[in-house]
Amino acid sequence: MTPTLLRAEGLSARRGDRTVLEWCNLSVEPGDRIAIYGPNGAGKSTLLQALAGLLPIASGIVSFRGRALGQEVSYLEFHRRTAAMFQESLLLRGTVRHNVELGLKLRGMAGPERAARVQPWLDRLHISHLANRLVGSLSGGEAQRTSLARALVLEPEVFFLDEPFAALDAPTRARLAQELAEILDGRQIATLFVTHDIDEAAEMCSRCLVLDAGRVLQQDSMETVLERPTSRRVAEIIGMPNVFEGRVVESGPGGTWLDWSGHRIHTNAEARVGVRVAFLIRQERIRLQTTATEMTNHIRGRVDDGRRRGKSRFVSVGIGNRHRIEVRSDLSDRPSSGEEIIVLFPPDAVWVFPEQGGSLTCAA
Amino acid sequence: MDAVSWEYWSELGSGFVDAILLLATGDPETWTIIRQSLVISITASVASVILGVPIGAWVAVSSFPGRNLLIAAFNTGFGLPPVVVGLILSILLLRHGPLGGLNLRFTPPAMMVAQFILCLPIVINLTAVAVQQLNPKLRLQMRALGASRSQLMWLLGREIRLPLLGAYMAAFGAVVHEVGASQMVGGNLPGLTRVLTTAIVMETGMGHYDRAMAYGIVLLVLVGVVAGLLTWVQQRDAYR
Repeated sequence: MTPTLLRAEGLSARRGDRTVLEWCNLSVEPGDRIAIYGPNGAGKSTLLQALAGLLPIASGIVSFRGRALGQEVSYLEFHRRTAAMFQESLLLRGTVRHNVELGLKLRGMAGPERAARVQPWLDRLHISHLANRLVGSLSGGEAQRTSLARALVLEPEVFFLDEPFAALDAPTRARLAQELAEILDGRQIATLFVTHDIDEAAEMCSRCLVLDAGRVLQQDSMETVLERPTSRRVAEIIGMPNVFEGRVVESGPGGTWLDWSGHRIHTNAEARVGVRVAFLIRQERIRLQTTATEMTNHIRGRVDDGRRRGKSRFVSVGIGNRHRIEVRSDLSDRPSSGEEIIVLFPPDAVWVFPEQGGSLTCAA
Repeated sequence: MDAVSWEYWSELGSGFVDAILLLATGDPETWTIIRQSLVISITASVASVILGVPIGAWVAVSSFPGRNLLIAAFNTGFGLPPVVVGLILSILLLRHGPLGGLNLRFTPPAMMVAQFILCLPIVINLTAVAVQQLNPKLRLQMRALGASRSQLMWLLGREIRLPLLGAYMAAFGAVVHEVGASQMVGGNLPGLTRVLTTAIVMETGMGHYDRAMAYGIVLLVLVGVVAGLLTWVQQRDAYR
C-alpha cells in the first residue's frame, strides 16, 4: 500500500506562549486540492507553515510519504520536493528569469537544463516578455505570476499557497486563480490553499478545512461544507445568513416540522421531537413572491431594505419584530422597501445543524 | 589686503603647491605614510566585517534574554571615544600589563586592534539593522524553495549587500580619519606606525604645512572615493 503523501496527526503549534493550533489531523493525497478556510487569526497560515515544515510544531507529527518530517526525512529534502507561495511575492533582487530559476539553481541544476525547464513556465504564465526585467519594476500581478512560475517550475509534489492572490485587485485575482486552477487540473500536485474568500476556495478546491481559533471545526468536501455546515459557527464563518433556532414539534415519514416563533417550518432533516435545534435556511433557495402559494414553507414578511453586492442584490425581509431573512435576488427583482411580501423555500432548503452551537474536532 | 595677510596667503598657496608636488613626485616618506594608513585601516575594517556581520545577523534574528541589553551595548560602542579605547589598550599593552607579553605597543598590529575595536560596533549595528529590515517571510520563502543553511545565508547576504557595503564604508571611514587611539597605541613612529592623521597632527605642530596639507588632501580623496563608490553602487542597485 502506498503511504499517504502528506499526513498530520495531532498537530499543535504555538506562537510565543500562545497555542494557535490544536490537535489537527489531515491526510493529503496526490491531486488533492484542499482549502484551509477561516477568519483572520484562525490559525490558517500557522497550519500551512507547520505542514510545510516552516514552523516548529509543539506536538504531533507530520509525515511525508510515510516518513516523519525532521526525523526520517530531512526538512531540506522535503522542501526540495514541495513548493510554497505567500501573499507577498517575496522575489529577490534581479531579473524575473533569475527568480524563476532560483529553486532549480539551489538544487544544482545546470544552466542549459534550467533554461529549458524555465521557458515553458514563463510562456504558460505569460511573463516571457518580462524575463529580463528587474523585479522592482513589476506590477503586483506580474510579481505574483513570477512567484507562481518560480514554484511551479520545481514540479512540486505538494504545493502550499498562503493567500497568494489576496493583495491583488479583484479582476487580476480572479484571472490568476482561474489560470492556477487550469494548471493544476492536469497535474497530480497536491495543493493546500489558505484563503478567507469562500468563493475562491470553492473555485480552486474540492476539499475544505474550516478553522476557527486554532481548531478545525469541519473538514469535508467543498460541497458538503457549503451545503451542510456542521455548526452555527461554520455557517457564520463561511458567510451563511439565516441561521435561527426553533423547536421540533413533529417528526415522521413526511419530514420534520419546527416551530419558529409561531411559524411552522417543514424540513427533510431528521430530529427528535421536543428538542431545540439551530437551523439554516439556504439563502440561494429562497424566493420572494407577492401572492400566496402552495409551497410548504411560506412566511409573510415586510421588505426592510435592499443592497447590492457585486452582481447580486440582497433583500432583507423582516419577519414579525424579531427576525430577518436575507434573500439573494436577481437585479431585475426589486421589491421596494416597506412592501409586504411572501418568503418561500422548499423543505430541502432547511438544514438542521447536527449539534447546536457545537463543533467537531478535526476528522481524519 | 595688508602685508601680513598677503604673506599668509602666499605661504599657504606655496604650501599647497608643495603638497601637490610631494604627492606627484612620489616622495617616499609621504607614500610610506599613505601605505601604512591604508594597510592598518583596511585590515581593521575588513576584520570587523568578518566578525561583525555574523554577529549582527545573529543578533537580528535571535531571541534570547538580554538581547536588548546587548544591542544597547553595541549602540554605546557606536560612539566609543577613540582616546578612551587608546587609553585602555595602552594600559593593557604596558610591559607589565595583562597583554604586555605580546610586545604590541607602538606597533601596527596594536593600531589595527584599536581601530578594529572602534569599527566593530558600527558593523554589528548596521548589519543588524539591515537584516531586521528584510521581510521575515523571505527566510521562509527561501527555505521553502529548498535553500540549505549556507545557501540561505548567501541569498540573504546578497539581498542586503548594499547596506553591508555601507557598513564597511562607515567602518573604514570611521577609522581612517581617527587620530586619538592611533597616536596613543601606535606612537607615530616613522615608517612603522606613522599614519596620515598622526602625521598631520605632528607636521602641523612643527609648522610643516606643506606636508600636513599633502596628507590632508590624501585623506579627503580617500573620503571622496568612499562616498563616490557608495553612491555609484546605490544608484546602480536602486531599481533591482
